[in-house]
Amino acid sequence: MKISALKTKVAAAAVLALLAAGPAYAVTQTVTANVAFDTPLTITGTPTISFGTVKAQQAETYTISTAGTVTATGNAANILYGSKSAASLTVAGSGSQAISITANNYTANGGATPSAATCNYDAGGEAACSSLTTVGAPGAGKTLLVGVQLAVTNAPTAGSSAAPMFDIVVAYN
Amino acid sequence: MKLTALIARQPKIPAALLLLALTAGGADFAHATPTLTVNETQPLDFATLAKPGSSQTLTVSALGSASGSGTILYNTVLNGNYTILSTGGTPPPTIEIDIANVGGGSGFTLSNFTGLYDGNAITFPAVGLSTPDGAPKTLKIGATVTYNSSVNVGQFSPTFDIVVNYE
Repeated sequence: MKISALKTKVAAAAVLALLAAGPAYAVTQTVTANVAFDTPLTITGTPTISFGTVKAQQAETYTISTAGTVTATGNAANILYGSKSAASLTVAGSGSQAISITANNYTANGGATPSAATCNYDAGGEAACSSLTTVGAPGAGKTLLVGVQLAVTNAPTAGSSAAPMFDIVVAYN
Repeated sequence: MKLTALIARQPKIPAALLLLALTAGGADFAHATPTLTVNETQPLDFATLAKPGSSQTLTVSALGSASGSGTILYNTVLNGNYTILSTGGTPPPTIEIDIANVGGGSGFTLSNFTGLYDGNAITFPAVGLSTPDGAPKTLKIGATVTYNSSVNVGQFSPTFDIVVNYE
């Protein structure tokens, strides 16, 4: 008798609990996040451009190609002697992501003002660096040759030297 | 003999109660059951990060801004954007939202999820949120990815669960 009464109470309580619980519907949505990892860009190599020795106290505009050839706008005789070379750099980074190359921050020194840098990336031909807005991924390393134009005033004297500078900027697109 | 008859009758009492209860709740069961849905409109995106030399973090806020020690190489970070909607029936006035089953990958983990529900900042688990009854409400989610030098170069798609319950 006592046992049966207990069962009754338990059953009734269960029903009441069921009624009081109300809706308990839920939704679980699995979603995806995106994350990717890649190799940072690096530039190594020789960041020096050599024009050789040119005539002192002679205003002239010189251009060195990415192949290392120096020309003068006014008179070729103003180019005197000395070794000449373009900058030869190596760009490394992603194996799949395209990059852009540009030159900026031209800084004059010793009466010589640089401008209009030219680039030859991965033997793709010489072009204004600023035009290389989309070039191939560098992967383990691709060669970047750099030339530039240099406007020299008639101020530099014999025996002096100049070290104008500019930046080559390589960035992922 | 008397005892046997008594035991046989007792089970009928809870059965009767149950029948009564089902009858009384019959009006509710006749209506549509409230249903919650979650739809993704924009996945959480940590952009492309520089493979590091040491442990780094990058946090994308629920508003979609990036912070942390990690370096973004390219692409842009995006907060996760989702809509939550309750349809049918008469739902409870509030819901709760939580994040569960957070995945990761080799060399990286996701953690510290943050949210904006209907424009209000929330932390998980978030309770007492207004039920989006008949009109969707937005849920924006941010999180932190912690990664180290062992990550592999490539794209990865870790998953996590958005769990929504009526309260």
